[in-house]
Amino acid sequence: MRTNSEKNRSKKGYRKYFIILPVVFLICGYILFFVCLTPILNPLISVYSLAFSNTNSRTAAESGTNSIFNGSTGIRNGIVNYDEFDYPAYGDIFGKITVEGTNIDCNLIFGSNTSLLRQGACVSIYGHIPGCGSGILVGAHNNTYFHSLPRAKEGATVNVETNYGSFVYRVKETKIIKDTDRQGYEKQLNGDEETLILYTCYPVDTLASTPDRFFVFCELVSGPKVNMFE
Amino acid sequence: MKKLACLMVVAVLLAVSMIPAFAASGINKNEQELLNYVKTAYVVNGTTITVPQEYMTALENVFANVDVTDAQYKEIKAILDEALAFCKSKNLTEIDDITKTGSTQTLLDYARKALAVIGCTLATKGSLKDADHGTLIIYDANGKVIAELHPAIIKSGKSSGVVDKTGADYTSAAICGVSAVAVLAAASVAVKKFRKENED
Repeated sequence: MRTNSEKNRSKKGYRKYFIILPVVFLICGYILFFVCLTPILNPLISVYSLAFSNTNSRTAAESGTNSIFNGSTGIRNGIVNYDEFDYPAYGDIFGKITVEGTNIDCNLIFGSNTSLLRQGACVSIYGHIPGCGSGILVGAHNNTYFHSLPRAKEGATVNVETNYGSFVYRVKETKIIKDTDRQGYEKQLNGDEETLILYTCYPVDTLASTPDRFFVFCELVSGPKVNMFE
Repeated sequence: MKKLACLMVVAVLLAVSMIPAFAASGINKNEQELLNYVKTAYVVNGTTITVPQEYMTALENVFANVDVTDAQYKEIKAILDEALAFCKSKNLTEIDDITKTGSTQTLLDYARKALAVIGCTLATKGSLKDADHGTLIIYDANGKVIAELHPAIIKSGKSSGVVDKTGADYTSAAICGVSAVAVLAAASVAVKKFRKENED
């Protein structure tokens, strides 16, 4: 004959092994599958929306970004007025960047936040866009787009194609600067000389954010001038 | 015919009224005036408190995507005058003074009022006391982000800078790893208990 306490224990055990644990396993398993399958499912969903929805290829590109870049314009000098091109809006893909001696070949996105940094090299709104005659601040993750940035050597060519012109820069200097050391790049960012500033977390093989940044300062070789003022 | 003409007039008026706030344009006279205002207006005890150039550039980038009309300029300037008077009355000279004097909400309200003039809204993310993680987000009338800004880039004379966290983005991998460990741990605990109870 089973006592009441034995009955309660077996009831508790039944609950634990047949209800609570399966639910816990289900939730953990679901998270595991969701995270593992997201990279595979995202391209499939994009292809589906491109083929079967009414949206065009521009809106189906990447969530949060809109591409206004349709390849090289061939404009390499002269003056481009504000009314002759679409000034990039926050989150727009407006160009491409390649750096000689590295594997860097990625989209340029106007603005930067966690989501945009996953999609390309981000041009900070605290700096200008290429052609404005001042500093352009471009950052990207060290495990993806800018992983090979430290391989950029002095004198290497940096090509920047945008929706309003083609720019060529030359690497002038590389430096490791603390992320809080604004003075380390302030002069180039806010100066009157056009300087392309590329940066990523350093060392590039660390698994998390680091306090150091690898900076590459580039001088302008050629490109059109942008007139933003009416 | 009359009806058609009336419809056309309404359509044209609608289109014209939408242009001022959202037509992509250069930086016009009114926007230049606002830039100068922000750059030089704040004088406390004879000292001009300068806005870091990075903020001025960010403002230029925002103005390149909106168009401030004469009427909007006057309205925005009136709000800025009010905000300026408030800052002077509270003697705000350091970023820290804003939180110390409890002025954050009032200043945000002024910013919201000024942005509303051009059809924009302002939201905050994270704590604004934290210059690294707090963010001010400006949206246009369609809910699209126009700019995301740090609440401060120089705090108490010490800079926090404008560079982003560009370390490896292993968010997915981390969640995946934690979930896998959780599943294994739960499984091993369950197996142990099951064995123990069987032995009993």
